[in-house]
Amino acid sequence: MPEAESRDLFPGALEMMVLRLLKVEPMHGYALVQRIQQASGNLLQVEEGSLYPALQRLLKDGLVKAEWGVSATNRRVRIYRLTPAGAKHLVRAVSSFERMFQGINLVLALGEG
Amino acid sequence: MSILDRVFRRRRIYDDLHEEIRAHLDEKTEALIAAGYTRAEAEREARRAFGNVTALQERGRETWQWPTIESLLMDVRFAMRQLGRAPAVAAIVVVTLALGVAATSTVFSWTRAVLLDPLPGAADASHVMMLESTTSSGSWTPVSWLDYRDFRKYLKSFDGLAAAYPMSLTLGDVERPERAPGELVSTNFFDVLRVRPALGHFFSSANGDVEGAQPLVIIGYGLWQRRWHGDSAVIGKVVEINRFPFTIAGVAPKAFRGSMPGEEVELWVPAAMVGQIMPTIGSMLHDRDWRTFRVLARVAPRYSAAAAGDEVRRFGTFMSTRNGGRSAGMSANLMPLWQSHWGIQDALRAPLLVLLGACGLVLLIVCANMATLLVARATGRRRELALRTALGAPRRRLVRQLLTEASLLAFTGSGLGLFGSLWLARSMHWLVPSFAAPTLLDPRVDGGVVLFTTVLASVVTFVAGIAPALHGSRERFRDTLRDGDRMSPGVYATRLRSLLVVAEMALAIVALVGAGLFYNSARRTRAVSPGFTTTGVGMASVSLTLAGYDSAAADDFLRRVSDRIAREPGITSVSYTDYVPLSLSSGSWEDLRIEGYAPQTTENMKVNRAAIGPGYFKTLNIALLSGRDFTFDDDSAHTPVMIVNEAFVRHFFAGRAAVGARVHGWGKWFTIVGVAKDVMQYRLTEPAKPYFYVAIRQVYRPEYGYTFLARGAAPVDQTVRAIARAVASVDATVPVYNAMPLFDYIGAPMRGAKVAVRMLALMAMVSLLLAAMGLYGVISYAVAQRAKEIGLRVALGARPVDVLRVVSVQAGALLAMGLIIGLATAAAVGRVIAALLYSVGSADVVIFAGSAAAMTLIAIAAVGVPARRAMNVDPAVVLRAD
Repeated sequence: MPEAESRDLFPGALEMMVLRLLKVEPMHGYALVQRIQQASGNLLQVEEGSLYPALQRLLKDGLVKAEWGVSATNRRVRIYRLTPAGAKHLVRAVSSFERMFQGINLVLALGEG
Repeated sequence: MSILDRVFRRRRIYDDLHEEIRAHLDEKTEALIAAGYTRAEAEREARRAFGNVTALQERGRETWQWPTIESLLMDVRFAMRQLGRAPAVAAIVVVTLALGVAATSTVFSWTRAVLLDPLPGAADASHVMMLESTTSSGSWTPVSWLDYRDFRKYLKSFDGLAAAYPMSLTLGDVERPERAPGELVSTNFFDVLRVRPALGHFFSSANGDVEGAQPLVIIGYGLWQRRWHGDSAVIGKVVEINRFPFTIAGVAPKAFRGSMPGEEVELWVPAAMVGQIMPTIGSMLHDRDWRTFRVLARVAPRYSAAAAGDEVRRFGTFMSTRNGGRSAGMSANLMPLWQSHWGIQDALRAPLLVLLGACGLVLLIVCANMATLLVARATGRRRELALRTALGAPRRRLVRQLLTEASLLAFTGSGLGLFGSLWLARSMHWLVPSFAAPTLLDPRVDGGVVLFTTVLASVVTFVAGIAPALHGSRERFRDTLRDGDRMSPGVYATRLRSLLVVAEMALAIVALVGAGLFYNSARRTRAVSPGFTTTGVGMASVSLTLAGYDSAAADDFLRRVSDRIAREPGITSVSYTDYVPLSLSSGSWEDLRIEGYAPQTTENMKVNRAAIGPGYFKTLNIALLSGRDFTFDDDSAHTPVMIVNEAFVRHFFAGRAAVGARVHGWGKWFTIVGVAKDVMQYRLTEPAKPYFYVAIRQVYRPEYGYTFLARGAAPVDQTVRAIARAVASVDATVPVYNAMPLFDYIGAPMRGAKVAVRMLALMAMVSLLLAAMGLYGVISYAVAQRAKEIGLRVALGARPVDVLRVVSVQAGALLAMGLIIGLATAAAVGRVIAALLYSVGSADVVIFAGSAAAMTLIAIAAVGVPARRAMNVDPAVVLRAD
């Protein structure tokens, strides 16, 4: 695993990705980690454990709900699902991220055009 | 949601989290085994990929914790460990704070007893105010009974007005007489003050104040315990007050001490019974110009104090116009009790306010002390803080940590301080002269004071904790870690600390100068001659109303007692008077008309006076500048005569001969037969005012207590005993009181200043000690921090002198700045103090120089000692040590 960069997500990035994935379908923690790595083409290596404090924060803020259930592989797992508040929050977070990303790109593109 | 619910819910959340993480690890492990790992390898890899399980679980939990209780406990535990590492700093801070808080809450409990809570035992006392009449010249005067009745009848802004007249009363019969401080009060007195009886009931105010109708007395709690041992059968008992039978109706509650702030009253009788208690002054109830009453007014809740005051002024002016005569030009004023003129608070107000100010200074010094020490320590702990930041501790958390440490110090310190003030309050009798009011000897450290201290602690914590917290969290940790301790502390830290040190020195100088000014004032006050001799003079007072003496009998009695005193061995002169100069009472005055003097239209012609016996001037050693003393021949059968003082002559007889001139008073003409030197009559600080003396035999009024004065070569206690013996041998039924050396008795007007000066001296010592501790702590810490630099310099060949110079230049700059600011501030404060107190020179060079010198000495010690130590250390050791 490449060292250093793996953890340097900006604050809130992990939460945003979790919300986005949960928007597709409810799932449990392990599945979330796998999905993030797959979806990012293994560009993002999330320290698996760091997902859980993030999930606790989302739970506390009421952006996701959790309940114990059974997974596709027949394991007892805690399944998270997006709440309406979480959906709204996701829209806001994505748009503000996009603006930030745009801004950074503009700066990085300086002198190349 | 209840706390219990939350706790249980949280328990479940934690369990869920725990189980969830375990499930995750299991799932990962199985996935890895499926991919071909052995079980052991798979487990290891799963954990590695997951990260620090415990830490992550903890972080997950933190989301749900109340930041307050749990992490606070953790912070506190941690703070205790941290403080334990630097016990000296912690000890200095705690002791500093304890001293400051003890002094402040002691003074506060005083202020409370005298100024803030003048009516303990009364409900809603904050609405009770004092109504005073004002004379045409604008000075205050008590209120006459008739004026009081009118105020009570017509004023609209009040829920009741009560009148009280303080007077010593004789309780009991001939066999067991006891002199007790009493108040003649309007029957609604207790209703207006909202006092509830401890036993029995109070006066009935239903029928108003009908003269002679209610021969009832209320006794004080202390008197009840002392004389009747708390027997509840006391209600309904008949006792004699000034030889007239009264029925005990009720017992006042323990907390209630009468309406005179700082004094303790034990008997209350209706003012309408004055004719029975003292037949000769019964007419005070019908004479509008006989102004003797204090009026306590309860402002109705729907009126503001200002509105009520307006009404009082308007109505007072209206009344004086309506009544005319000697009321012309008068008015009335409403004021808070602590501003009223009658009572001990008048004398103690200025000293107490200054003391409170001094306390504020001491507290500021305490804060500065705490802050400087904590900042210094935070600087020393930069590495620890930087390390924790690098390990991921959020800045908020570090700030909280530092604040927790400060609070821990603050609460320990103020807790100790509270202990200290309990002890101080009990040992107050060391500071207060024994004749001070019992309320002052027993200042309660009660809930209010505790609250005050707690608030103080919080404020101190905040003020002192915020600086190091801000400063500590601002550290750029990477730089710090890289540099280690090799660099001197950052610019920011140095500047902040310098600022605090300068402030502290300045404050300490202000405190020192203030205390010095006070001390000087006290010394000068003591050195001021009242104009008469007190040494060797004994006194004792008698009340002649008890035995129902008429004027002839009284005259005979006074004369026989003084004859007998004069025959005692060692007595050189003896006299008697109805007013002892410099006693706390307001004395008496008379409206005069002076032949050949045309008063201004608004001039107050009420001139204070004393009625005296022959030999008065000789006994007190007051020079008679011209004319003669009174003799026993100056009696009702001869021409009324008068002796006046120099100021009287200056004011009324500018350039004319006074002796032989005629003055009208008491409805007859007096001839001036002598001029006496000016002496202080009321205060040691008063300018000389017109004053006159008349012969007791010509104006006898039995209601006044009379006081024998005798001077002799014998020890003064012997003289005092001789007077008491003489009274007893002439008439054993006449109660004797105030038998003591004159010097002790007239200490009373000075007692406020005296007590304040002792307290201030204490405060000055405390602030000096605090400043010394703080300065020493900070400067020596700073020097110790530079031990490496010093070691380096020494290793490179610097001589001790060079090192010392480097260190002292820095300290010297701070000292100079502190001195300049401090002295300038002290000069300004000195002017304020000078305005408040007597004979304080605001520009006393010696005091200013002395304070500056003291501060310099402390600074030298604070730099010298650690610098010496640093220089003596082997440079190699210092440089190698990290």
